[in-house]
Amino acid sequence: MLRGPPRTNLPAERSSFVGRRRELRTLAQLLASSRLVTLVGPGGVGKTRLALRAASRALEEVPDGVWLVELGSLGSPALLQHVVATQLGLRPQASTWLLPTLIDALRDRELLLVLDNCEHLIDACAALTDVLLARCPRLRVLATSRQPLHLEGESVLVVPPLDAPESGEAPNAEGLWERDAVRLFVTRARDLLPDFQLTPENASAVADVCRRLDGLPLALELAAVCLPVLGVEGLCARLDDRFQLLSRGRRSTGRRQRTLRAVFDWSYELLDEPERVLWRRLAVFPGSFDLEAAEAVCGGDPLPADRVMGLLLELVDRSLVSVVPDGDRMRYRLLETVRAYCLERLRSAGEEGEIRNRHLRWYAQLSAAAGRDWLGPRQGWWLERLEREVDNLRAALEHVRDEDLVEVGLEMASDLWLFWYARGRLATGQWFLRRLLEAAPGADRSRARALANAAYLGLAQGDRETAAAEAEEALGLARAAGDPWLLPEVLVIGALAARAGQDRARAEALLREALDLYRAQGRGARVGVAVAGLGSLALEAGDDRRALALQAEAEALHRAAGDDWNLGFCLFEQGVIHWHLGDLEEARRRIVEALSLRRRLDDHRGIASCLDAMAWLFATEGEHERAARWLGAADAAWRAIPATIAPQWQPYRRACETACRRSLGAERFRRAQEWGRNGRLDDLLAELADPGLAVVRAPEHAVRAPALSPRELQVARLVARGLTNKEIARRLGISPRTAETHVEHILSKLALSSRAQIGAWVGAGEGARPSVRSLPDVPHRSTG
Amino acid sequence: MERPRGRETGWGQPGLFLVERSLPEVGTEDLRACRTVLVETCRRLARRGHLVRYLRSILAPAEGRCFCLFEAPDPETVRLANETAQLPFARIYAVVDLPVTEVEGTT
Repeated sequence: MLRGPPRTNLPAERSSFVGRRRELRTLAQLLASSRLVTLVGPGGVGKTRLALRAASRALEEVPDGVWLVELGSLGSPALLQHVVATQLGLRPQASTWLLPTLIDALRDRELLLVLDNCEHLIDACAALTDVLLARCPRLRVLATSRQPLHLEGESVLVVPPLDAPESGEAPNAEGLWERDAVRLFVTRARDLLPDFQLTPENASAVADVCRRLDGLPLALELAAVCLPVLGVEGLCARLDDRFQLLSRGRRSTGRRQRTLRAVFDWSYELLDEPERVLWRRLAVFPGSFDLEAAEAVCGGDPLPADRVMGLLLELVDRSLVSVVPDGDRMRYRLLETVRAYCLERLRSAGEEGEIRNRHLRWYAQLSAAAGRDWLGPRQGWWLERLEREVDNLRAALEHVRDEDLVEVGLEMASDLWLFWYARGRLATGQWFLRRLLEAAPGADRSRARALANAAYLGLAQGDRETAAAEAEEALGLARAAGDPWLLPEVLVIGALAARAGQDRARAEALLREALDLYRAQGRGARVGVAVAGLGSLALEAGDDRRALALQAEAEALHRAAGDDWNLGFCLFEQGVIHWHLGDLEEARRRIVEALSLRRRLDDHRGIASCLDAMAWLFATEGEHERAARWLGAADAAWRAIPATIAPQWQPYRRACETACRRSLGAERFRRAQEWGRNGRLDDLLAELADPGLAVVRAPEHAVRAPALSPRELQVARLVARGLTNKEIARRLGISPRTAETHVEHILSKLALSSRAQIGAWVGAGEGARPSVRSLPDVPHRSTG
Repeated sequence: MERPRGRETGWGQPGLFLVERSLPEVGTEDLRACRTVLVETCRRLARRGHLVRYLRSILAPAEGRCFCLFEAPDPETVRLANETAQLPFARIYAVVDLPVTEVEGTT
């Protein structure tokens, strides 16, 4: 987030903005003087539009931008921090408690956070806002809510309805035009009837409509839609009937709520039965939805699915459903206030449970389809598709409470594993999996799968102990279930947990068992995953040649399957191995390809790892200035997630930093790093097109001293780790005498006199070469 | 610590609940924030009729585990408080407090 453009996620306005000059002025003053401003008012009064307009005006004044978090679609307060983090562009992976991450990300930032529609999560919003404002001194919050947050220092602006003509006001057209309510009504009317004018003849009726609708923007917009059918006089007469009872009494919030309700009722009654059914059923979509989903979820007795499209367009025409353009397709949504009304209608029609079940089943089906495609060429397409559905996915999973749906929920949350992982929603995915697991002590097969996936997400967050216990339980259940398709997937995750717990032998045994099953089943993409897992183990054990052979085998399988996700890991590891072996050109080719795959899948952690690795390669070539720039870019990428490079790669990074600093001096190093940190990634990548780079120079240490052979390098690294000749011999499968000879050669080639000096040479970076063996930063896996 | 009994508070029969959570690598400042959030959240919920009170926390820093003690009529209210405070937890236990009484303490 927060680095270079974009500085905001504010949406484009859906229609022209009318009036509100006074409120915007007041709001600008409040935002300048108070760090928490809450816009308070009833539904339909226009809080969101006002907030968005004020926020986009403030964009110039807040260096780190304006970020909108729409909360209307969020059902559970437990996910509030997750949603705020995601909207800020963070992809936190460090911990399940996100507050420290949010504080870190916002502490030094001068930005405006817009929390829209807080009312149903008011206490959670207050708790979060309170801490963030206390710990992040330059943060400002603009909230919209039906009630204030009641926090110290909160400035509350009660949003009034639009200025409407007083009763008894002389209806003169020019005077009326000064009234915001009239302007909005006429502007919306012209959207439908371009020739519509405010004239001396219709002025009185227009004034009457605006007054009767209490100047409520949403009510005015809905009424304007009826103009082509009823005409302004007809509209006035209809309102007369409906509002007879409302016209008495004071202008109070309560009355305005009744006014809006009356307009909704009125709109509802103007619909024919199938339209009513569709409108209320659409309330189960918390965010936007597409036509297919509307047909699947809302179609059905008494509404034939094939009529949904026509009816939906009817509702759009009447402004009861809004359109959200999305590339070449259309998505639709209900405004929050409208949705609340429809939900009430849905409940009183006794349909809520059934329609929510269908909503769950539809998104469960969608997730299953994505799950089947995860290891294939459509994975990128699916990740983007599901990103648009994230509000729906969340709502569907939140709906799972009844026991008979838990299994559907478990399967769905498991199917989404790559979405949770690749899109930085580890904590959200894990929250759902664990919550559903609590509710499903039985459900063996689904439970095994969900446990395995929870372990997988836990491992990625560094929660080894819980993950190990979950993986163990999953393995037991999967073996007992006797499902040969499920078992290998759980085995692969069991192997990851074993490896994280340093039990390489067990990891290897589990992977081999999975591999045999996958081979017998002819599942090539998954064979690739298991082979790559073995490759990672070999790399970790220091057997570069074997690791390389295994990764090459995996690469071919990933390519054949079109599985770019796993191919990215595989290429990254190959890059590291080639670098170990001193083949820098090969190494760079792999890392560059991995980087381009990562960018295509928008995998932030993968991108950051590749930027880091590029820096190591440049440093090894003696290109320290360039290496420092890439280190800077990697820094910025890690900070934006936020995360740090995985512990196993940290020695490489430190060695690279040391070599760069030594070669450039502190000041030049700092400047180059700063350049990389603040520059655009594209500029940096353009460097790769530099023809000069095609010639890979010899590693720096090769100039200083005769090159060590790959085996000698390997031995040197083991010496650096304090291994004796005997231990080295055992590790590499050679005789102690041969090990001794290697050590002698190393000493003589580097003109050194002791093993400790070899350690120092390796520790200083071997000209920024790796000093420690590694795990890959992110585990390989197959679908769970 | 002296706790009000159910009869005195008019809360019916509050029970004690222990909430276990994993908070690895969380600093002192953040733990303070955790405490503030819990106190404030329970106060707000209590005003709305969810009678939950946060009593104290005990931390096992080496294990990154934290145990928070609550008083509430039922575990659902404790869950609500923790979800509203947006503090993830592993389990909620119904527990019994067995303080050392003065007599036992002196013998």
